[in-house]
Amino acid sequence: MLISPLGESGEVKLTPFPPKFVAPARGWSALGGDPCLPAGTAPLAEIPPCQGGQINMNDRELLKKLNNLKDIKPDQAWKKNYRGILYSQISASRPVLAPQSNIRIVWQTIMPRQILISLAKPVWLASAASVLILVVGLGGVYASKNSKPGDSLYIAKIISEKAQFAMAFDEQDKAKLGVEFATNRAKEMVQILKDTDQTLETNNDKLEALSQNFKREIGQVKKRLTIIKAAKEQAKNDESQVFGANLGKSDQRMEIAEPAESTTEKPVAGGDIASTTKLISENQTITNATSTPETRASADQMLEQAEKLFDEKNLDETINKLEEVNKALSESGQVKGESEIASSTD
Amino acid sequence: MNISKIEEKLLLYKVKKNDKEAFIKAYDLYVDQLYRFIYFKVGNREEAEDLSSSVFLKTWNYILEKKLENPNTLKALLYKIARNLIIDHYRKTKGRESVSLDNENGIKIIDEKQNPNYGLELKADLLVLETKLPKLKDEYREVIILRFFNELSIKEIAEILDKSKGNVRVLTYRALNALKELLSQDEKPSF
Repeated sequence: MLISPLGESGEVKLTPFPPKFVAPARGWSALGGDPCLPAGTAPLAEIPPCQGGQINMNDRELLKKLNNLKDIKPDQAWKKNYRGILYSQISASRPVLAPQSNIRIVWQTIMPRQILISLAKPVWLASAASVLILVVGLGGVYASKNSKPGDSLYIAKIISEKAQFAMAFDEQDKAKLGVEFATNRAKEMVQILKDTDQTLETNNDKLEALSQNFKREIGQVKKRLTIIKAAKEQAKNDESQVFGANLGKSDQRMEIAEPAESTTEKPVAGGDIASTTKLISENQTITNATSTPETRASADQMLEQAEKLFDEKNLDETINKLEEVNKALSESGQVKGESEIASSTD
Repeated sequence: MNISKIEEKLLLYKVKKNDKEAFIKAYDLYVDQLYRFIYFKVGNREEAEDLSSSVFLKTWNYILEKKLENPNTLKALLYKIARNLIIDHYRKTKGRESVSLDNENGIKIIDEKQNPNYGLELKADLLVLETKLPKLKDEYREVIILRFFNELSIKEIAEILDKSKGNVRVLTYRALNALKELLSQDEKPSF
C-alpha cells in the first residue's frame, strides 16, 4: 500500500493496487519486461506484486503513476490564447506563402535535392554524354549499312569501313575486308541502277566513281594475296632454316653422348641436313600445303573472274563471285589458324 | 495527439516551407507534451507556460532562418529547443529562490470533474512524484518525463538527447531504479 498525503486536507488517501491495470507495453519494453515477473510472463493484475522487503512499492504501481501523469495538461484558456498570439506572431514574421500540395512535398521527400546534385556532377554528365554519343554513333553506322552514294549516311558507311580496315592487323583479314568492300561497291552500283529518280548524268558520275573504287579495292586485294603468298613462303623457308639449325646443334650434342636414333636412320652429314629438315618441315606444314595454296589459287582465280564479270557489267554475278571469294578466304583463314595451333602444340 | 510518422514528416516539410497553418497544427499536436516536459523540469506553471510559448516562437524563427540541419522530426526539434531554453532559464534564475512545484491549485487535471476519485488519486500520486522528481538527477528526470509521461519512443528520446538508443535504454532503467529508491526511502518512516 502506498500512503500518500493529500496536501492541505490532511487526509490520507490509500491507493490500492488497481485490478484493471495493465502495464504500458512501451514502458515495460524499456526495462526488458517486468523485473518482478519471470521472463515471458504477462504482467497480469492477478499476479501479486513482488515485495521489496517491507516496502510495498512495486514497479507496476510506479509505472502506472508515471503513466497517469501524462494527463497533466496546460490550462486550456492559456493554450487557446497563446495559439492566437503565436499565429499573429508568425504571420508578422514573413509574408504568407501559398500552401504546397501534398504530392509535391511527397515528391521532394522521395527525390531529395542531394540526389539531383550528385547526378549533376561532371563525372556523371561526362559518362552520360559519352554513352549517348556511342549509342548515336552505333545507330548511325547501323543505319548507314544499306546507304548508297548521295545518301546523307553514306559518309558514315565509308568511315566505318575505313575504321574496320584500320582495326584489322592481319593481311588475311585485310584482304577479306577488301573483298567485302568491293562487294559493297558492286551492291551500291546495283542500287543506283535501280534508282530511277536521279538524272542519268549524276547516276553516271556516281557509277564511274564506284567502279573506280571497286577496281582499286580488287587491286589491293590482289596485292595482299600475293603478299600473303610471299610471306607464307618466306615463313616456310625461315622455319626450315631454324629447324635445321636446331637439329644441327642437338646432333652435335648427341654425337658426344651417344648416337641418336634419327642419326642411325639417316646419316647426318653437312649436306644432308637440308634434305632431312625439308622432309620434316614438309610433314609439319602438311595441312598448310594441302589447303591454303589451293584456296588461294581459287580465290585468285575467282577474283579474276569477278573482275571480268564486272567489266562485262554483270553486277549480280560479280557480287556472287565476290561472296564466294570471301568464303574461300575465310575458310583458308580458319585452316591457317588451326595449323598454327597444331604447330604450336608440337 | 497520436500522429503517424508519415503525417509527421509531411508536417515537418510543410513547416520547413514556412507553412503557417502547418505550424499551428504542430502547435496543437505538441503543446501539451511540451508543456508537461517543461513543467516537470521547472516545476512552476507560469514559467512552464512562458517557456512553452517561447519554444514555439523560437522554433518558428529557427526554421525561418533556415538553420535546420537535417532534423528528422519536428518533435525532436521542439524538444531540443525546449531543453536549451530550460538550461537558459536555469542559468538566469540561478541564485534566486529555488524552484518549487505548484500546489494543487496550479495543476489542472482535465477529467477531474468526470471522475472525482480518479482525480483525487491522481493528485495524490502526482504529489508524491512531484516531490521526488526534483530530487532526481537531471538526466534521470528528463528521461522519465520523456519516456513515461510523454510516451516517446526510445528512438525519439535518443534523437532529442543526442544519445544512442542503447544508452537511452540504460538511462531509463537507472532512472526508474533511482526513482523507486527515492520513493521507498520516503515510505520507510511511515511504517
